[in-house]
Amino acid sequence: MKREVIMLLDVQSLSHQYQSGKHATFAIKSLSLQVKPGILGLLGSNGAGKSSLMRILATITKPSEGKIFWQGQDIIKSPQLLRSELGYLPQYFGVYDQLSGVEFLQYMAGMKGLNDSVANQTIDDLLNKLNLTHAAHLPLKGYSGGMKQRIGIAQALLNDPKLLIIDEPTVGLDPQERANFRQLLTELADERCIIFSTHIVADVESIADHIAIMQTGELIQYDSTSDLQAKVANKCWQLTASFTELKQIQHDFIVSHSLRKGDKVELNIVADFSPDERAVSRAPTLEDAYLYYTSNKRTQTHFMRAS
Amino acid sequence: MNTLWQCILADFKQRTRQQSFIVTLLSMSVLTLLFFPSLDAQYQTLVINGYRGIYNSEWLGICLAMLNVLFLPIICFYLIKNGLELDRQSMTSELIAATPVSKLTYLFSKWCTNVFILVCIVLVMLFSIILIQLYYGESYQINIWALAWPQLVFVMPMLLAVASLAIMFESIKWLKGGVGNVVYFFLWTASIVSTVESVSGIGSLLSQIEAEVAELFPLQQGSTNIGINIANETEKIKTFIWQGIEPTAIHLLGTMPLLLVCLICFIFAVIYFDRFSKNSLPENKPTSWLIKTVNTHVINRLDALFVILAKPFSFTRFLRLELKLLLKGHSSYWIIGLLLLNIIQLFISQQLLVSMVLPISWLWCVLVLSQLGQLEKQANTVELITYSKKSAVLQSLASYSAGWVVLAMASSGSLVRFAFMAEWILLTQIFIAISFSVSLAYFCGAFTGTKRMFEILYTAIWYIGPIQAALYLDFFGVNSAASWQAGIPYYFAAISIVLLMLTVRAKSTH
Repeated sequence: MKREVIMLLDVQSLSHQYQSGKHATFAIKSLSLQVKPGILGLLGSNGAGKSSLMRILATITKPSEGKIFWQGQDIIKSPQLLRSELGYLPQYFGVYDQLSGVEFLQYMAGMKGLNDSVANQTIDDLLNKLNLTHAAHLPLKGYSGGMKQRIGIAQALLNDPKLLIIDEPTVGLDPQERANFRQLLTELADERCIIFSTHIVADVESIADHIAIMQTGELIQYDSTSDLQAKVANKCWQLTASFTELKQIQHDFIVSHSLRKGDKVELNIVADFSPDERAVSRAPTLEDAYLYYTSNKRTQTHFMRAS
Repeated sequence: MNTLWQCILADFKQRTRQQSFIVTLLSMSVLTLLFFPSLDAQYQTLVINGYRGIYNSEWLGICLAMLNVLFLPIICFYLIKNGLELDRQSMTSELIAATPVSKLTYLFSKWCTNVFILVCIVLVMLFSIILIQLYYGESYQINIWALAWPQLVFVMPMLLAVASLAIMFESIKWLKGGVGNVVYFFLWTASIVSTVESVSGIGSLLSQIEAEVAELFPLQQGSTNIGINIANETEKIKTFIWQGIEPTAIHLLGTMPLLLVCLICFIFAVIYFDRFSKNSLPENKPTSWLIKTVNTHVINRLDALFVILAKPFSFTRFLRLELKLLLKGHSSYWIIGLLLLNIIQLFISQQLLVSMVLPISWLWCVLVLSQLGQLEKQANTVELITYSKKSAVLQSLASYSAGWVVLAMASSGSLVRFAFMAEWILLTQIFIAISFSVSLAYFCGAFTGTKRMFEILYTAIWYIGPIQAALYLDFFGVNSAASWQAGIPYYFAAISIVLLMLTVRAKSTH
């Protein structure tokens, strides 16, 4: 008999409302999602509901409706079941700026219930991995934005979490630090679930196994990275146009990338049909898929085709 | 256990490594030194029937305990009521909320840190009185036990309760902010009487010392005082040697009510603490008819009028925006309350208006005024404001004037009434009182960057001044004739101008 794969995190019909002026607005609407070990890239524009979902999954906020199961156990009813196995890096967080990096991590380790000897060893390793050893004993108030972000990443990894939730973690990191961070996530991804929320598609393209795309509180796409790219494979075009045509093309189609070439411009276009007879088909990227599913021009191109 | 210890350690380090903590310790030390004046000083503090004990360890220990029991609850509460706020403001709360730490452990660690901070303060005060004893040299025999036991028996239980109260106030949504600060002030004021008259605490101790003095000097007819009292030239304070007392079971039993308060407050804190989660589904209450009417017929019309009035000058346009900024976000019930107070001002007797209703109308505005001077810092818009403003002075004056308009609106019933009755002196007093209140708010906000300082200081001055009619703190002049005779209105007008100038200067320098 074939053994069924255990779903580690199972989100069922999740909805969350908040008060906006006099009206209740849905931050998340009937969202269902199963997260398996590996990296899940959560994409969506600002205000799509990613951070609200992250706070709910991190057991900070209770949702208005729906259920979340971690290893088969309801974590809305019993959030403590998840918290000891959770690593969370919120989009906005703070530190005790009077403490040194080590002191702050010792504090967070204490909050996560780690004993001193394990904590100290882990802290040393993480500071080394995140290139913070030189500043380990300096007060956090003197840290740069990127260094504080790396301290945030370190605290999320302290308890060797089974579920790692990271919300916009690459904000404030320089290109080298971003590459290091992606490498670190890839190393960690083997036996744990990592949910990586971002609106920078390039950050997840090379490392995510699955991609979830959110828009106005709803999950509009959930697939493996390759399948998602395959879905738009016949919709990706390359067109070299003049600058005078550029404005009209940008108005009519989804332009995912543009590159200046002398007095012309090379455009990557995503559309259900060939935008111009000069256009040639090209290989799809995750950014193409993301823009295709989140842009309102998609419906527009359908309409243009019909007319 | 490790979780608890790490929580306490980090919280204690974070709170005590700030410069303000050192300033607090130094201030408490200075306060202690001032509480024990020499015999020929201009003021005296603890005088029983015209006598005070020589400054030996027994007398100093008991006096320090009395000082602490009376004044530490008010000073320390506001000092430590930021344990949870610190985590919220620094956004460390986002990280803490996702850890397995329980509400009980987290709050208990905060309570322990509060207690440790308070113990540090008492230790500094104890060290200061040892210096006092050696400095005055009325007795060189240092008896550590005699100095310490009154602090352990009388002060410590009170500190435990204050630490718990601070946590409870921070955990309950509506007590977290300015309302809580004002509520606690009145709670403390009400508790002083019961503290002094208590049968097991310092009340009984005071009676015991009084009886002892009466027995030693039966013919003496001097005054008794346990606060700051200006020395009387004719009544020279005499000293006697007080041998002290030992703690008894009754003293220990007297701590029980405070320990119970401590426990109950802590339980309430655990129940009401939201563990930094936002309310998932706030109630969507329909707007009441009253609120709708007030919004349409009063607030919107007033704003429309302000728009027309403000149009001609950039300063007035600025003033309208500053006023809007101050009033935005406050409940419509606050406006309704303001309207009611104004109506009452028109019809109540003048005596009651001056002594009660007008001061209450000003207190009604304390949470609005406390925003002055620190809004940019709280909203993190300092840099945006700095680069965009045309003139720092203009912006400062517009902010000040907005506060002035708020208090003028709160007093408009009285202003109309006094103008109609040609009570020009009372009108002048109102102008000075408003100017002083707004200057103080602006000064406190700009220099401390928080609302708390003004909320506490103003409530205290308001209570002792206009309400209790203490001449030198009565910025309004409830006893009009006496106030003018002593030159108090001039004095407060001058303070208002100085505070405003200092604040404008500080804002411009920024």
